[in-house]
Amino acid sequence: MSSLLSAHALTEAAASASRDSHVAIQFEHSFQYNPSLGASRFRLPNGLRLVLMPDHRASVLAYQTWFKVGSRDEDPNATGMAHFLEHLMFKGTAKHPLGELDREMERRGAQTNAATWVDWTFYTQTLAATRDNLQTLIDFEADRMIGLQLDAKTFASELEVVKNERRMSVDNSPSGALSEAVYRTAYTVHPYRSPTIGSAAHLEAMQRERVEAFYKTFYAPNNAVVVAAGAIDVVETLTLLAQGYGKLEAQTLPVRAYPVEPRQIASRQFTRRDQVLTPIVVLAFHAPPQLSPDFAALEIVSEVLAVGDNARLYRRLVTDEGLASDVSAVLVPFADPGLYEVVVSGREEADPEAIVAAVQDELNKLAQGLTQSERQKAANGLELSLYDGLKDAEGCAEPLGHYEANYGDYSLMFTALGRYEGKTAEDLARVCREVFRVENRTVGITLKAGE
Amino acid sequence: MSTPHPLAIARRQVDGATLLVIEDHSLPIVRFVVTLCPGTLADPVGQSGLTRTLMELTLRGTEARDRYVFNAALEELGSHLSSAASMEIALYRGISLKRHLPQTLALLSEAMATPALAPDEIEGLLEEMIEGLKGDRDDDDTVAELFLRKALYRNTLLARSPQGEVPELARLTRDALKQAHQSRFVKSGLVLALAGDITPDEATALTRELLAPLPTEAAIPKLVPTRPESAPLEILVVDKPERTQVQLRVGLHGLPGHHPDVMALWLGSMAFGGTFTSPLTHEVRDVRGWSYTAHAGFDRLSRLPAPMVLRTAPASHDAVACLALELELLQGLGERGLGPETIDFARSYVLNRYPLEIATATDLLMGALRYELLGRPPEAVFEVPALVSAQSVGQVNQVLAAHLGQAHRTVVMVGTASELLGPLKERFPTAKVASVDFREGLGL
Repeated sequence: MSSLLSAHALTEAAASASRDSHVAIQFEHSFQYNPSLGASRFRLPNGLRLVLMPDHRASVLAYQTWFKVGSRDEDPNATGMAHFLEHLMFKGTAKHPLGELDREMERRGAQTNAATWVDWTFYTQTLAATRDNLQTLIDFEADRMIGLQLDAKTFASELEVVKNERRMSVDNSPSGALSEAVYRTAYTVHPYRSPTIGSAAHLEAMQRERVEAFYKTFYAPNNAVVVAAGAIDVVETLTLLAQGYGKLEAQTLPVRAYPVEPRQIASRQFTRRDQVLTPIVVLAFHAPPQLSPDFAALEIVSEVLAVGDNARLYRRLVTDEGLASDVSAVLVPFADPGLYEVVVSGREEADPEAIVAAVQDELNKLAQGLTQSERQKAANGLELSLYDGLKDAEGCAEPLGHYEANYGDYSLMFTALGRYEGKTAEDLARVCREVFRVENRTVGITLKAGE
Repeated sequence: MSTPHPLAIARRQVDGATLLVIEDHSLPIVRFVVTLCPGTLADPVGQSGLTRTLMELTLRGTEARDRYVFNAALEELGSHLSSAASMEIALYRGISLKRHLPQTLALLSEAMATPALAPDEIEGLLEEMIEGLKGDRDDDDTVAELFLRKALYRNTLLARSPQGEVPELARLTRDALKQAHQSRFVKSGLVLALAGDITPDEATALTRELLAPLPTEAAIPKLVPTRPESAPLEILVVDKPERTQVQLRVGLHGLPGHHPDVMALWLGSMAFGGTFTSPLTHEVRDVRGWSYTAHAGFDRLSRLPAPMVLRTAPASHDAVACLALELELLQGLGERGLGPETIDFARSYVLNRYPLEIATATDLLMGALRYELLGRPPEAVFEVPALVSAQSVGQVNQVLAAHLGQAHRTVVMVGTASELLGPLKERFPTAKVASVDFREGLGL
């Protein structure tokens, strides 16, 4: 396996597949993580990037198609388009009419899904690793990359499905509604302020022509990454991919520039009412983008803050002061500056302001540094998380696609531990002082309706 | 014949406990599960939540070290250890770097054998659990599952939440917890499963050490709950103000995992509502756009009779029509069954998908364990494709008719009652329609 992933062998593989497919495949890069796991990247003339990771631990194929388009690319007055388009992508083309994709995937036992967030959209299938399955996947995926057809009836019924998804995840979900309001408040100009699922009003006004235009703008081979991980043969996979996608034409992609969110200089806070019995409190701080070295520093800090019963926030809020029944923290992995969110499920009688004060106090203490025991906990915990993510082909395919689609470097998946190494106590303290400033904070509180 | 599975399940008896080991040396990590049977079904009447509380308490300090020292030792290793309890089993599950596995299991052993059950920890945990149960009512999906259980299993042990009922939790005593610990934490009742970078011999040695401090007495006898009497269609509206959507559940009593008809019922339920293209999903979601989720599920490995449950979430204005459609589809399922094409399609889906569900050591871990807990050899996990292949279309439809055709339908709708009750009574005039407040049972 390791010899197969040598640059020479992969160049030869690309040459061989090029001869068989009559498409000029370019080998670009490979990364060997350990003797049995590694990945490589190739490129077709139309700009489509192919990330291949042979993994013969199980006879499974994880196939993913990533597009570098998400809700940040939408018109702020027509939100929800990227996500709705993701739903529509399962509907049909001239070659494969409505329902055929789902039916064919299910007949083959494929586990099929898709997801959209602020920076990206991806489609995933996991199924038995056979040549026929691979060829079928490529046929369907290459076809729908440019061949989607939308009729009015399908458009309308699927829009109802998405409206119901919004009702479930936002309108009738106190935590979902609070999260949406937090992003709307924390961001003033950057499109991260818009909900990926779309506002109810924008969904109501969704137009087929505009969705089609969005699709034609962003769904193109030169805006996509295909990941094939699992029990694959590199030459065979490259050949089939080139045959399937090689004829698609590259498109001129729009130059994308997103408004830069101005530095927050004063804390923001709001309170909303909902059908809850216990208060929910969110503290959100503007945080570095995923590729910033400071993001890795915050990941270390987050292990100490929020992972395990002895984590600082859990111990303070749940155990010692009895203010909350649970507390969690999320550092969102966004391409532009994201948020560090602390989410507290307060106890029924807890004072939300006391919760905010206790969280902020714990965050302030971070500037004094972590103990040796906490550093050790973070190092071991992050190492375990990395291995856990590598446990199967599907687990590997997603970060490979995420890093390649967003940052042009799939190998970032394997080098996570290196990003944590060398962070000094001062590095961590500096990042905490910068991020966890009160002026950088948005607080959202949900309280019981009628009180 | 299909090729043998590349991963083997080693099964050993170790000091009265059962050990399953699945080797996978591709990464230096090990997952483990330690189970006690039964789970919360063993909670005495009036003491629901006892097992769940006890499991969590064992991880909150031992006789040798308090909660913080215990957690610090565990967390410094980077290991994760948690507990859970369902009706059938109570379990610990964890994951550890291979190099830290002995220390991690030693900590688990200490927790199981000598928990402090400190009064202040008991008090604090019970308060947390009660607050957590209140918080659960903020999530409509969770509320729907909670009330479906109550509606399906009225007045039986199964109606109780595995997390415990609030008034009963509030009355749990340290003596009850100590007594439960003495009777539950014995070697002979345990099943352990480890998967990852470990050999059966290494696992055996570590298991022996883990079990050493535990007594050997037999586990407590199994309790067999009774199924409530059948009744006509019952619709329970769980009232929550200002909902624009309804979490809708339709439950039918199904079968336990050891029943000879279980595989046919599972295949039938899969064909009916287990895939994106199944009739239920197609009619509710694709044709009408009524719900984002539209699914029928049935657990074929349950030791207790598991229900088949239809889960949808229509907008409030579509909810009654959606329920009517689901009941109509169910009636057709019982009366006419499913066409051969539908059943064979589901069979193809299951047969092609199943190998993926047991592909890795991690995947295999819970599957093998559940067969073991069902009283079957863990290798039965590999026999599923043959059993699915053996179910004829006629058999599947016969089983659907026999077990679902006359089964009473229990409906739970979490939504705003004032918008639902009138239309429900009009649409289903013979049904028993009732309404409860979503906070019922919290003692508020």
